[in-house]
Amino acid sequence: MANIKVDQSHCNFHLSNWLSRHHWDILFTDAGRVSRGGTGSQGSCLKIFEEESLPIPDIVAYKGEKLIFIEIDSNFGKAKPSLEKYDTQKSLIIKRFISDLSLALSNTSLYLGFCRTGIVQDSRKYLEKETVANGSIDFWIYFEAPRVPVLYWPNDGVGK
Amino acid sequence: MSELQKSLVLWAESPEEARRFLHIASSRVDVLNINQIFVAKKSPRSRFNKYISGEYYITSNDQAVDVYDETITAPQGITSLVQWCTCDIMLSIGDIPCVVIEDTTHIVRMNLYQRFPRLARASSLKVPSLILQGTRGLDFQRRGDCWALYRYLQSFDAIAKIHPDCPSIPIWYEPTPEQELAAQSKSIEYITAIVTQDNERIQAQRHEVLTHIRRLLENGVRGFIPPNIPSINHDGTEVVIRIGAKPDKKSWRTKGSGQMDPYIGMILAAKYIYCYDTDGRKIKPLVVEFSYLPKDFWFFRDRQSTALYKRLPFEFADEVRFLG
Repeated sequence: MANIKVDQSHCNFHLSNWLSRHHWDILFTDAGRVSRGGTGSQGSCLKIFEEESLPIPDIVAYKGEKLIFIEIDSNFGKAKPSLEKYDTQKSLIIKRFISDLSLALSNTSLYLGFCRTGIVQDSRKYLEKETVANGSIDFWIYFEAPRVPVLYWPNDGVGK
Repeated sequence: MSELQKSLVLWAESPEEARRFLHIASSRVDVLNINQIFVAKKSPRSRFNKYISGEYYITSNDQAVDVYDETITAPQGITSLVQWCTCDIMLSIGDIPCVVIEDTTHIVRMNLYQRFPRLARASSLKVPSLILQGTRGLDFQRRGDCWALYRYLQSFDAIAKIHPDCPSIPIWYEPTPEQELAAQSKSIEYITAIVTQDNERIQAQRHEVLTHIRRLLENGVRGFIPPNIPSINHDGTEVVIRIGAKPDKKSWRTKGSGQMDPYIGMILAAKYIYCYDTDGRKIKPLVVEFSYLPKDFWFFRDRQSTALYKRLPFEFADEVRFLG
């Protein structure tokens, strides 16, 4: 029987849907189409990334004074440079999101997450390894089965 | 479910294009109730072009458009449409393509005709098409950007003259939520008319758009009519496009498109705009001149290749000259 490809596109779509169902406002998704822009928050976010020479995150979402940037990739190493860049530019990013999108954010509002593509067979082992090796980010997302993302946010009660 | 809905098939470039189309079309799900969805690329970042030989991925056939690792061979009508690059969306009724749709938010001044070959291909195969075209990237306060839209629209006027029974319709909008929604709605109305074979509505929408284009071409976009593009000479007995790409550029080796990215569309658009008379008869040959590339430049040696950028200049032009 054919298998579903749990790739970047799959993860982006299902994770965005999952976040929406959990009352996050999706401000931006990088669908990987030639034209990432658009109207509304999608266009406003892209303008910020382009004007500030920032890498383009895969998902940007907002809920209750929290702003999250998520990078989706097959391994953390590929996402690390972008995540490090967001980390060093946190105050600038927050400032721009307050001014351009009128969000209610504080100085510590930006949280960074990594979503791994593919199926994670042994989530305990995966998280043990990732959180030790790459503990500089706030949360991890993985898929144990197609369509169903799992969020692990150790210091935040699973991001609720 | 009606017979039509049982057989309506969506062929998309990638799952993203399919999802966006399904979202836009959700207002007319009564007619555009897609029964099967196939995608040419498993993700938008894929660089493969196996679609040229008809390879399409099976999907979950729902709003999620989850892609399976199994492929099918597309019907001949679909494969023919993508020989000049894959289209964002194609709808077919059974195996027979009925409409091609391109959807993009940006116009890039340096690559105005990027999507033109796919639309021209559709018209040449008698498949109607439309492009939902945002104008992000252009600032109509600037004369050069008004010129850009004018030149872009010239290519659609040309398609309509050469293929009067099957023109391609641009539905363009300035990047505001209101204008985008209105343009989406207009596009879906046109697609619905095509799928349901409502000829009266099809003709009315075509007439409205083409009349608008011809008015703009007569009066200019915001009054601005551009001069000729300097690299295209159409005054003589032949139309000559001069391509100034240099042979020593790294991108010939590092990119699949080499230095050809903006030129493929421009070559075909120039052919449509300048090589035909107002009745759609071909009156001049098209010559592509590479000003700096030597004869037998290595990039173009493998013309049987599936790489479109190596093949299409020779397919579009009547003659290709290497002057380097």
